[in-house]
Amino acid sequence: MNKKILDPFVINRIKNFDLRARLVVEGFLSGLHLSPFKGYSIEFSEHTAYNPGDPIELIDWKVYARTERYYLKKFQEDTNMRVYLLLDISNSMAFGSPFSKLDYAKTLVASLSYLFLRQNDAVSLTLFNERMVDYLPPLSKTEHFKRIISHIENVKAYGRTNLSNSLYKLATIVKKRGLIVIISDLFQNVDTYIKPLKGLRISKNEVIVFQILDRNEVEFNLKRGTHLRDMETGITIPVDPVGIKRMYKQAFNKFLKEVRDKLLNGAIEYSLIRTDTDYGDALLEFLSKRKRP
Amino acid sequence: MIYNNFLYILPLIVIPILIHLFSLKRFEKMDFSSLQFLLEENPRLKRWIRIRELLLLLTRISLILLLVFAGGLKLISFRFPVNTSLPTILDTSASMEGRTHQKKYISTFNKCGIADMNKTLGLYKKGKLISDFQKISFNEILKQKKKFPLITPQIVNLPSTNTGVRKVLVSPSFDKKKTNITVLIYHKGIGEKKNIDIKVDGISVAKLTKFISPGRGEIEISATFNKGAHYGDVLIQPGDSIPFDDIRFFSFQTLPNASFAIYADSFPVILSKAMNKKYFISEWKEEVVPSSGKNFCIITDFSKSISYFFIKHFYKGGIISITDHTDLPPGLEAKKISPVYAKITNGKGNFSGILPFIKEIPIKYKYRIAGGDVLLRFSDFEPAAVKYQNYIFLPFSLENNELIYHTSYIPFFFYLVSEILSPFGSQNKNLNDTIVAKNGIVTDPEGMKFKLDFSNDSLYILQKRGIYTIESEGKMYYIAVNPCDGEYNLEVLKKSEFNSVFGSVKRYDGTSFFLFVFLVFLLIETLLERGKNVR
Repeated sequence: MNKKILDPFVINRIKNFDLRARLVVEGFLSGLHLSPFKGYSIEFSEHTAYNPGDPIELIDWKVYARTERYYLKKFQEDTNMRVYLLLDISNSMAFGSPFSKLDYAKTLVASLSYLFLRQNDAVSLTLFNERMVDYLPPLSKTEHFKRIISHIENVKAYGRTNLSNSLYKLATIVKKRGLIVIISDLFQNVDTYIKPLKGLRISKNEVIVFQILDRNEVEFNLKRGTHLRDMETGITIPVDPVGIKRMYKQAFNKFLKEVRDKLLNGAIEYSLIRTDTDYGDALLEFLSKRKRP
Repeated sequence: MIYNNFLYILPLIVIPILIHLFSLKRFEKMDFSSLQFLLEENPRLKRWIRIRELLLLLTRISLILLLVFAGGLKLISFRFPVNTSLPTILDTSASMEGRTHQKKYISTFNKCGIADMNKTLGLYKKGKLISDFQKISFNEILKQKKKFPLITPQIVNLPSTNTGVRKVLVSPSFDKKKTNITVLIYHKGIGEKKNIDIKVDGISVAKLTKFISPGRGEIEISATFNKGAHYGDVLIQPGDSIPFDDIRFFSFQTLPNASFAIYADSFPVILSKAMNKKYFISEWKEEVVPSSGKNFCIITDFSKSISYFFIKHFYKGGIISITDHTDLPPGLEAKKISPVYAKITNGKGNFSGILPFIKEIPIKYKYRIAGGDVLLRFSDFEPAAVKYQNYIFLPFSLENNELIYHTSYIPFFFYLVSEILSPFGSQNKNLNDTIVAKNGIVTDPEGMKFKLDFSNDSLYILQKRGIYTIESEGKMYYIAVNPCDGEYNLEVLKKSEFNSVFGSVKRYDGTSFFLFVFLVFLLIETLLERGKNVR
């Protein structure tokens, strides 16, 4: 894996998201000697009559037992899986320097889209803040990648975070089971969205939550004598960052722990990714969370 | 309404701005993704934030309400309680008529315009005074060093530019002889060309275009008029004057031509000069002999006895200075007294109008006249000029030393002459301040009619500017009325004078009060917005 190329500080200098995604994925894959995706997404589609020369191992013996005819199991490779990418575009995602959490998340979304479409999975994109702002239905065509890029390219952060609204709505859209990837800072009470997440799990969907955070959110290394303005509520409070750091970190770690525990208890894959994390590592983190069928 | 007092507190608005700028400079403001962790771990801070948000909301609502109250006082007729029980005193002097170009405070102003502030403020010691605060109105108050701290002054601003006729002077006018009309103009602001139209009896006698420079200017024209009363009007276009400062109406009387026989022991040098050849033909007589072709006579310092029946036979009228040898007509008596010095008045203590300065001169007189119609009185109430038939009798010499060296001598002499000539010219009288005509019907400049009744010796003050028409005993009189020119282009009270009368304490009316509270709330809002430091 080319670490230098997949460094977010390098990648995010590229304006073109298409190029960003290709760089990330190709760089990632070239570093990965063995593709973990081999045969991974293949699902049964239909039966076809057996012709001499066809591989015998594909004969469906259950059908033969019922019909006394040879039928081959046909595996559909074009639309074998639906991936739902949910990207949080609330105001808090605009935090971060030199690039925001949203910038990082957008590149991640583009990379995942490229990765899935490359192996003919259908990818859907949902942008949300306190509601579902934008939705692209799942498609596996190559051109769909450009549509996804155009939808995330110029999107700006706004509104407040409310994941649950979008999850409830998504639950009505998702008919077939699929993979749901949520990319958000999750700055919301976990109890408000754990229920719809569990609901999606019950529907046999696979759910992976990526919590994107900036280094300063985790470490709280702010300057002295700073006025802080909550990007979502607009509340401004003057703080002494040195004096308050301990209190903040305690509260923040408590928040992270609560999120992690509750998600994992709900059989939901969770991963915390800081914006200074290499994109290759982020993708690897994603793959490690993936379950094989 | 104009709330000038508010201007004093207006600079306070910089305080919240300064605080705001100071705070900005001191602290670096930074956007942070979420403060929920800080707030959740610190319930006190959370509570304070909630309270602060509530206070901010209330403060902002209050700010809007205060602005509505402050600005909407006029619209919703809301008044701050301090004004509800107190009177509003309006200065009704002429200068208040159309004092600002935007607003007309009064439609009818008082005669002469000088508001009697001394008297008015003496009656109402509390309240609001709407005035242009001209110094002339406050002269008495300043002189007496009176103070009115409970009066809230509301200043009506004076215009910065103004052009108007200050005065119209008319030379003695005789039948079909040239009469000079001099129009004095005063102009404030940048000089400009103006069209001037002078009309007499509604007919234009002069139309000219003149560049009017700042300050005083004069226009002189001459024209001839038939005997009788005339009224004139000077119109300046384009007009930018306020009505008060444009004393455009004037009236005068053209007398019949007259020739005089002057009876005096020695040649009356001063009197002869007063009887300018331009207007009169006169002949000096040392002896009691009739003067042919002369229809009026003047007898002064004449030691020879001259019979009243003699002069009445030869002359239509005359002016007679009483001496020990004067033969008085029946019904008129003159008692010799020790010489007394006294000023001449019109018998009522003032003498505005045709002889504005004569009252300043103390004149020595030696006779106390009884009978006849008293035209003028001395300040001790003794008759100073008595009219009997068409003769005027004076208890002093026309060559009186105090009189002849005074600038009022010639106007005074012309006054006497016009008194004896006017019955032969026209019954119309040229009157100024008061109507002394007999009972009649008066039509004011706005067409309103009212009846004169002098049975109780009442004075009728003509208050409106313009031409009054008086119908009396089947004859028409015309009177041109202007306010006193003493109030022209006046000065306002100086700040020190203003403060000495009303005090330097700031006064706040409803609007000012609400705006002040608004500023206080704005300050609170700024402080709340900045929040409280968290440790």
